[in-house]
Amino acid sequence: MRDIVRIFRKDLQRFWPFAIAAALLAFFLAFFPMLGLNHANYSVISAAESLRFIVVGLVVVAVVQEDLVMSDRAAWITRPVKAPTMLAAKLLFFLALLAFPFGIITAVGAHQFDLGVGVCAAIGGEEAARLFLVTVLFSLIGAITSSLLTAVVFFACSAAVLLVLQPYLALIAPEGRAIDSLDSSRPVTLVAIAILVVGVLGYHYGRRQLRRTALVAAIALVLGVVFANWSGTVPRQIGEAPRVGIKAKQSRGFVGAVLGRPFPMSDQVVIGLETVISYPSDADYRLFPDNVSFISPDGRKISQRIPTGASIPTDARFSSQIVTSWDNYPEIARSALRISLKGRDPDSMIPILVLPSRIFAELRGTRGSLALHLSASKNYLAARGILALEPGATVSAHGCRMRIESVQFVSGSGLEISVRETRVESPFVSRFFQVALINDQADEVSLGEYNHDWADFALSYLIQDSRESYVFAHRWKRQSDKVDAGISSEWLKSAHLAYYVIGWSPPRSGTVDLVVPDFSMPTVGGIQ
Amino acid sequence: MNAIECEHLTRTFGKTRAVDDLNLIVPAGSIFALLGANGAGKSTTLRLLLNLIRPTSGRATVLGRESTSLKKEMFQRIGYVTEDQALHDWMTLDQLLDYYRPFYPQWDRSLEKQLRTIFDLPGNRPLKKLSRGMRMKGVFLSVLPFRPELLVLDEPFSGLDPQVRDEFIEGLLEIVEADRLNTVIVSSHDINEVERLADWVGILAEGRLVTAEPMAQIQGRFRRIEVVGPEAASCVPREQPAGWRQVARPANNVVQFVHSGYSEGQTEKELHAIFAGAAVRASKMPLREIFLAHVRRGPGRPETT
Repeated sequence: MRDIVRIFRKDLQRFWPFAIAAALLAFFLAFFPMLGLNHANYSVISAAESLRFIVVGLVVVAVVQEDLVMSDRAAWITRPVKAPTMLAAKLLFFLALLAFPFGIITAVGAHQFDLGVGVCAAIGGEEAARLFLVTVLFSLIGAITSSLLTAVVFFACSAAVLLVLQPYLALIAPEGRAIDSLDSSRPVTLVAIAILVVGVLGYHYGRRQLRRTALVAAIALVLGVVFANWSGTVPRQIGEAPRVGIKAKQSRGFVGAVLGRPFPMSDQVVIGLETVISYPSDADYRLFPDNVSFISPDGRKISQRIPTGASIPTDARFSSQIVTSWDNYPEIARSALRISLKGRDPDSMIPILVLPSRIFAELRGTRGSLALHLSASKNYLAARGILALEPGATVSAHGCRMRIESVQFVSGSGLEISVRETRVESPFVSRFFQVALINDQADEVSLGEYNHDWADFALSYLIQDSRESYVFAHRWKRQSDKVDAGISSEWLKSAHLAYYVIGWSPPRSGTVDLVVPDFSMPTVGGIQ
Repeated sequence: MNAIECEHLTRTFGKTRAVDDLNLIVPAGSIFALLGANGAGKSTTLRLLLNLIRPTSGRATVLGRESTSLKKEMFQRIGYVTEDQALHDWMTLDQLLDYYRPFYPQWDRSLEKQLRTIFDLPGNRPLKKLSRGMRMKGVFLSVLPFRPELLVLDEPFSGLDPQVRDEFIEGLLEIVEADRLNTVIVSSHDINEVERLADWVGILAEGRLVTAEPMAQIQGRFRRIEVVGPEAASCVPREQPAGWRQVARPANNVVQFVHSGYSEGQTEKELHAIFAGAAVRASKMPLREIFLAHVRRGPGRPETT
């Protein structure tokens, strides 16, 4: 232990300015919204974000190469220093001067968002674990190279290999599963990978033989892939959630979807899912198609990844329908606002497979296996309250903060409220705001509809900061399906702005098989 | 008791056999000079002994331990000095010594003080700002005070000016004579320097050991022979006797060669039998010439081990 401290002190003596520089960058990134920086400084944030990894990488490689491992010129190898002692001293340095300060700064940064000590500690721990993983990865590079330049070259090569490896991992993943990255936001995965890398490092320090280290690293990589496959968020079956079948609509309390009709676009055909709205009475589930693959009888496989919340691409934004922010949360709308909200239009469709017309024409009428991977999540109401309808009004909630920046009437008898939302970017904080105008006198509610033209979005490793606008253009009569258009200033006088904080549980996923029915291409608007 | 023993020690780099079937013994208490031309395998041998690289085959023991399993405790007994060691150059000498001192429980502060006086080094300047000679002195200073049982010097004089070399050798001899060092193995191609220092010598050529024996023995058995007598050149036997090397006939009445098995009185008697009536003159050879005689002969079976 004394030897570890001696080596640690020696490294500290030389590298403390670099460690402080890295910590200052972390401080800047954790606190940038509070430092009065404008969103326009997004490029500064992204530069600082990149710089943080560069600084950390250089510090780590330099600290490791202070006592070279692969070179027989290294002094420590012929001194009474055990290899595990040397490695432990280096790891102690990274923990004490990089991971720990970063974790503390992150936790303190998160604490401004009224998250409570436990969550802040978890967020800080996650960041510390992430940074520790980065340091051990850089350590491995520093340990198998003998100069900073070769380390940089090696890092570039490693990045190139990863670029090749990731598609390969996706390729070998079981049907319906996706392993496209060894990284994960979950601390347990970060720590598991770090342990594997530290194992390889320990072996390398002890043996100092590149070929054998490469062999051990390959074994560790396989173990990592197996672990990612076993513990990833993707492969788990949804327990209580829905099975997807073609007769879903007949199932009582069934959450799911049925295969929709083909929807022809100008140059492509969209096969979609029709959502089913018979939600279980005690829960609010949503389904997002993540990826889909179709295997036709002739063995042809068509795989696509669908971004969550994908919509049918069209240039005429909102011309076909108004996307209401409450659309996805009928349970909350029903319970919190006491309005009858149908939720998603039963005839609406989530696109799951977008095929060029030519391919669709070839597949028309065929039957094949359609594997559909779905994520499910549960939303809940975390908090609610009243917010003054004026610029500058601010509300804070668990891990998120919203400030009204402007309130104005827009054309079409709508009220637009622009807000700035700041959230802690962490899997431990899964909450966001919804707003509604409530007029108790008229017993009407106007729901905030997303104006998707939000801008000035900035994201650091800790803070997500965005400007968004809500448009209030419709009035729901409570306890009925009646909807009227338009918000007048008169109506507004007796209304107040309510905010609701929505939380959600982490998504879970499952894979189902669908049989594609015979399609017959419809003709819509003259486009086939 | 031997400080170092090598048995069939071999190390290859690709197709190159840097060290080839080396059988070597370094007696404890000796100052052993490992000589060889550039690329003869001297540094590789030392690196194998210190477990800096692993042997392809064969084995070696250092202070009774397998070289491949040298542990922390062993390195408290072994000092290693090489010309291109990656030091913590940003440190001052004081900082370097402060850093290393606690790793050696037997560190002798008085010897350190004594050496600092001999070497006359500034303690407060970073090592990278010191001259090459001063830097090497600094390395010595970080190795000698813990009184290593085995001191391994790999080309310690390379690139040093003659004055600094002299200081080194004087300092080293002083310590050895004061019985503060046990075994020293030094690899070098600066033969003149080594001759003053070593009492054992081993010669490597193309990775193979040519000879290894006490300095006095090798200097005793090597002589440059000059035979002068009528028609001496024509008396040289067609089959040259054992030990004769580099036979030259500069004139009809003169024969010169190196004799590697010289024995005073006996050799002269044998030569008079061959060169009847000729005058035989045997002159001592410096180590440098003995080395060249070995190297020019090329690697073969070791003469003595």
